[in-house]
Amino acid sequence: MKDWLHTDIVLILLIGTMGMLILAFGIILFFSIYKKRLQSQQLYLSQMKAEHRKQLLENTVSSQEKERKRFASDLHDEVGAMLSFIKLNLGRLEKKEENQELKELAAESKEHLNQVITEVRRITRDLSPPTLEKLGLVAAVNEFLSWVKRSDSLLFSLNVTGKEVRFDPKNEIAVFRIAQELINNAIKHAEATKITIKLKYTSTHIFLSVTDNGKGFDVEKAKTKGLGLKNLESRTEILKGSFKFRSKPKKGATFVLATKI
Amino acid sequence: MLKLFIKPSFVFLPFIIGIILYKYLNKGLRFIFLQICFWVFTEILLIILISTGHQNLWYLHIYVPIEFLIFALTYAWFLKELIKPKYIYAVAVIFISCSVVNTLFFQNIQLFNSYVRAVGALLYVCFAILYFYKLLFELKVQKLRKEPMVWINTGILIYYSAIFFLDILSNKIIQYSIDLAKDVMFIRPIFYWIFNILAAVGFLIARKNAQETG
Repeated sequence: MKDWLHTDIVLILLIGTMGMLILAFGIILFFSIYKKRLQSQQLYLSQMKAEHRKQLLENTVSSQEKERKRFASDLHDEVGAMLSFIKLNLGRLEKKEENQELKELAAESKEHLNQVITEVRRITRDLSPPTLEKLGLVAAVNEFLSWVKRSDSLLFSLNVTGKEVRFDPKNEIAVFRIAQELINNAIKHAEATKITIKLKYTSTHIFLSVTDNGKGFDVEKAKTKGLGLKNLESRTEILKGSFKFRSKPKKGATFVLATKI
Repeated sequence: MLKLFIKPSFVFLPFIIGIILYKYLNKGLRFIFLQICFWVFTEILLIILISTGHQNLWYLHIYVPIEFLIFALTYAWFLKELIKPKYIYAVAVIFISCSVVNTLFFQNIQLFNSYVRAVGALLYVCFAILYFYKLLFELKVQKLRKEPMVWINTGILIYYSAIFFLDILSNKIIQYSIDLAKDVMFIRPIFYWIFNILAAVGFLIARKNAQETG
């Protein structure tokens, strides 16, 4: 017994024990590596999903803007031109007509037509503001407010701090659309009488805040149900910016957007 | 006499569970169940042979190729995305041929067919490792503990690596002391029980999964 205890049997025992230990360690290692790989795969998949969603969102917004531009252009060139032509003819009719009754009818029609032309212009500018492209965000917001003021008796104030700089046209239009939607929401849903818009430019960022004195809303409910808020969040996502809002029922609302220029 | 029944007792656990839950088992798990049925048959036959005083070594020469064939079918199914089944069938044909050659020329039916058993155990360990590699490669399983074959494969890996080691050890020890070799052989049932418990767990998980997916 003494002879073999120190030779091949001991060697087999040692190798066998080592083998079993390696096996046990290998099984543990397999489970931990599997878990890690699975986690990294899930992370990669969720990143891909987010990227795909963002791409989809960008494409949707981009095609939406293209369609708006096309529609605004058609409205301006075709309908606008036709309305101007009708207005001109009505003016001629008003001047040449001797029958007083018909003259008054022409003048009245011309008045209504003027209102229609103004409305068409407003819609055209809402759809695709040329000022934004030509003069920038501040001028476009100002112009939008001036159009809103014509139809609603609201108090608006626009404060701009920092030096205005132009940035990526896609992002500029996204910020403008956010401002437009916030102002429209304040008028239509919040029934606000006073709206304050603040635009702040820094060397790297632009901040937009819209505050109203409307009836406010329950933030938690709005997060789950509000389609408007989802649109704002989607646009903010495209901007790679951040979006915050606070509101309480009957105490108005404040929205703040921050994004890199 | 008691020793005669202790080792086989545990194979009845997955066998009974397998019968009850047979409809929940997929094709691969049905091969595992077939293996367990074969083990149950073997255990009963061995008990009869031993209790009637007959020699049973001859049966191992039939047992080893059949066991390998069933495992080859099992892993051909479980590894089909990683290895073409025909390669595993080819390994099975080679192994069975070698087993026959071993019986005819090296270890006849009066002897313990230790060579092919050791090679077989080593091949099962390789299959089990390949199965884990396939899992790691595919990353299809979200929760490993909910995959029946993970439990069974772990059992196969533990059982056959232990068998491989213990067979070599007992073959070596037997040259010096038969009693000590017998003692070493008595460690085997521990791993056999571990495998059977894991197989039973695997079958139970298969039912749970089937019920969850409706």
